[in-house]
Amino acid sequence: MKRNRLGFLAIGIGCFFVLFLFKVGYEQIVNYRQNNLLWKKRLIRFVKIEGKRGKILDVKGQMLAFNIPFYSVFADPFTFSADKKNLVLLSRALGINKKKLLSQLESSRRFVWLKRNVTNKTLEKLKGLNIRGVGVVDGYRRFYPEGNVASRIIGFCDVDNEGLEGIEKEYNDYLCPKCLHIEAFMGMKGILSRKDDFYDTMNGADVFLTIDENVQSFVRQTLKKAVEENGAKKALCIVMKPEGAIVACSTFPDFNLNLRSAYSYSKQRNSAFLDVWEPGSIFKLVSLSAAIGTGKVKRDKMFTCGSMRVGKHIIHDVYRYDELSFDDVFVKSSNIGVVKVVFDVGKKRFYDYVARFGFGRKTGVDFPGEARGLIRDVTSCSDINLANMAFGQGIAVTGIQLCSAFSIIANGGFKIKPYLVEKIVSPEGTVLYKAYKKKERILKQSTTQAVKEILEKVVEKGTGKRARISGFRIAGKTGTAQIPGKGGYGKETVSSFAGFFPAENPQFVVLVSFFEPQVRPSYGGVIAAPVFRDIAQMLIGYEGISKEWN
Amino acid sequence: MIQADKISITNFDWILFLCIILLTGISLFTLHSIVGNSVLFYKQILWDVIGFFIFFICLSIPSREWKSYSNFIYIVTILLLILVLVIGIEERGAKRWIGLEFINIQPAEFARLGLIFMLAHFFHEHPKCGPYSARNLFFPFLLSLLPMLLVAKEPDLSTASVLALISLGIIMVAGVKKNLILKGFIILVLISPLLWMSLKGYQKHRLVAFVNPHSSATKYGYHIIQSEIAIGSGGILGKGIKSATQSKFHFLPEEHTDFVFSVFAEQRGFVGCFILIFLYASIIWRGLYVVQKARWRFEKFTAVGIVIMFAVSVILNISMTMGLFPVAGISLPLMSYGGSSTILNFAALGILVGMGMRTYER
Repeated sequence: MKRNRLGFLAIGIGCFFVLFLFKVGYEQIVNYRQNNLLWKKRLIRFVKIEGKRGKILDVKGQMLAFNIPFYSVFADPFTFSADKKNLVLLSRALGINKKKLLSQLESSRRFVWLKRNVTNKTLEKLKGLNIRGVGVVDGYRRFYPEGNVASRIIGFCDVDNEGLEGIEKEYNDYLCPKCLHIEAFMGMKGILSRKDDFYDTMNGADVFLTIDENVQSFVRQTLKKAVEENGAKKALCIVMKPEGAIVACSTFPDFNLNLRSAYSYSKQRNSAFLDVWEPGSIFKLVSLSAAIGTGKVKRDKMFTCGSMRVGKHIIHDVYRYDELSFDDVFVKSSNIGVVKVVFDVGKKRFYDYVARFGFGRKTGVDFPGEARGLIRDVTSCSDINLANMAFGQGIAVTGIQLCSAFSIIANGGFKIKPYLVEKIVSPEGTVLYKAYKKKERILKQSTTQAVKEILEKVVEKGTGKRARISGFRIAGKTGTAQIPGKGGYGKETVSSFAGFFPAENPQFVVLVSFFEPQVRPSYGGVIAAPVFRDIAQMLIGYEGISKEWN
Repeated sequence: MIQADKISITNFDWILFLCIILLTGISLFTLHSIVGNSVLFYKQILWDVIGFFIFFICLSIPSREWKSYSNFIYIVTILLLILVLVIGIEERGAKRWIGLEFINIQPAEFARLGLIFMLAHFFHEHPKCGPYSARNLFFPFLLSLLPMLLVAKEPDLSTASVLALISLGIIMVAGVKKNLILKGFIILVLISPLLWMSLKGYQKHRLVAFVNPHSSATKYGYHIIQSEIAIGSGGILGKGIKSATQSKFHFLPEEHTDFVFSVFAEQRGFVGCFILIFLYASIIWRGLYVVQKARWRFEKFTAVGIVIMFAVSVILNISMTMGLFPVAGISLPLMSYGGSSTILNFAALGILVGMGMRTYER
């Protein structure tokens, strides 16, 4: 062995070591910035952190909508080895066809959904398998514990938990959880730190409704029972405080929010706010208020109601009255009488009152897609049109418009904005929103007093007798509107009753309407008034309204 | 005839020993930063303790004994290599381990030492003044080809190539005729397409990925890219253990075995790398000093074989982590986790230090 050969060996090895030093030095000193950038790019991801959607609660804090866990399974095709054993295990656990599974896994992406919304049982099975490259994302989805109750008010969300209908849509911005985009170190084992209490502050705000779940379900039961008796196609009831808070709003038949995909959209819409219909005699409230408010008709004036002809048309009454006092025109709900009253008031002044009551305009209730109703333009309104309007034909209104019209009388002449949301509270407990109570005087106190008196008489001795509760003063008005079809009005009716109580200090305004009841006679006083009475009785008991106020 | 037997404590190579202790310490720190207080960490401590015992045992065995047992050791390692093909544990399609009750041993590691002893014995018995010719080398060539082929059969191509480099290195140091070197090179070029064809799919992919890592950045080029980023982002002083996330988040495969250098480079930066490379260079320098000092032919060739083995492992492993060499399963001596390699390296260094401590009587 020669010395120089050993020297060559030493130099050879030394060269490599020098090369290493140069390479390491180049990468760590000269090229450091670029390498560090690459390192960051590779490791630091922008991660979206999201809390959970806010809850929806009733006025007493009872939950109407909250979140339940929702698990989705994904795979990373890069780390998942798609051998036969793994595939069989996975397809068995998830209940997906092996072929389908394989086609899902054939992707160059690092993230593939395998199945969304898996049950807890599947999850347990999957955890037991412990397959590499398969993971679970725990999300949540909405659950509505009350099912059918208030379903049309609450509304619902889409798969991504974005509100689509109802309160869920109207207050989506509040309900939506806060979303943070943060820089996080990502590795094969996920985000570095995860603190659950941190996530809680990211939750959406909780929405407290004015709806009282107890009243709401009572109303629902009452409507259901009534519909079973009278065979109506649809029933509607709104219970409202005179200052605008909606305590209950129910339509029957209703649907279960948790099974909503089983119902068509037409069955999911809220007819109380979205649908318009001819109100019939209930609308005489406007004629009455206009007559008294304008002072154009004296209350002691008598009206002959034998028969009446307006142009080519003949106005009918249900019963034939010869002579009626002003009050009795409304108490007995005479069409001829009211037409004469409105003619005395005059078209322009009548239209002014229609507008004051808010017909033809949105009430401003916090519900998406509210309808504005249909009112014939004042310039194209002929005498017969005006005559029809006087008793609620030839116009279309929503339930909430009628209800707020009655609340104007109940609260002493103030136009209000009906509302469904009492307050919105952030997860930290601060109140983010409080119901805005609009109050605008549109009628004189004396006018509402007089109207109230006449409405009380309607219940006492008029068409609304069946709404009477002994010991309480109840004011209301009946309405039986024929439903217009092809070639004029048919036999089917909308039978309604709207009123408020106790008359001396109104606490609740209630509207009850039945669409196409199948029993005869289908007058509002016969069909709707007793239902109104049941609901009023419940409210009196529930709210503890005492007789002492008499 | 020169006889080597007596051992002298004054000749103990403290520098080499200090380097070994420092490297072992660094390796334990790095391993702890990766795996924490896990079984792996305590296992490695156990291996290191056993390693030091073996180091001193090997150190105290006289060279004469090593020589008389050298062919026996070679035959035992060959038998173990055959055994692993029969009863080996199959893992990821390769049979590299023999499972014993409490440990798994990797015969390919020990085959290195067997090969070194066999060649040292041969060149001891066949001294020559001038360079060796092809005819002289035919027998040792066949004997070194045997373990290579057995290891390649496992398949463990990287260890096979380490074996090839060790035998090549020893033969070159022994001295070969110049035209034989030329012929050997020409033959290698001619059979290289054949070698390529005999490679398995993943081995070819790795070679392609080495030439162009970004051709398959998610699969075969992945190791190289991740490792380069880890090293490069270390900077001058390194990121420290806490924020050295590239390795912490387990982007690096085999981070505690084959890619331990990348982890270390990321944590300790250029300064750390410099110290580490300096320690390895010192060990090799002290090893070459032993080779130079050795008077006995068998000692000289054994020592040079151990130095070559050590250097080849270090060079190939660091080259691999820097993307200068295709990805191969070669561990970094004294740094990588692993029982067989730790014990082998301690044994080899023990033999080396021991040979440096012999005094000679004429």
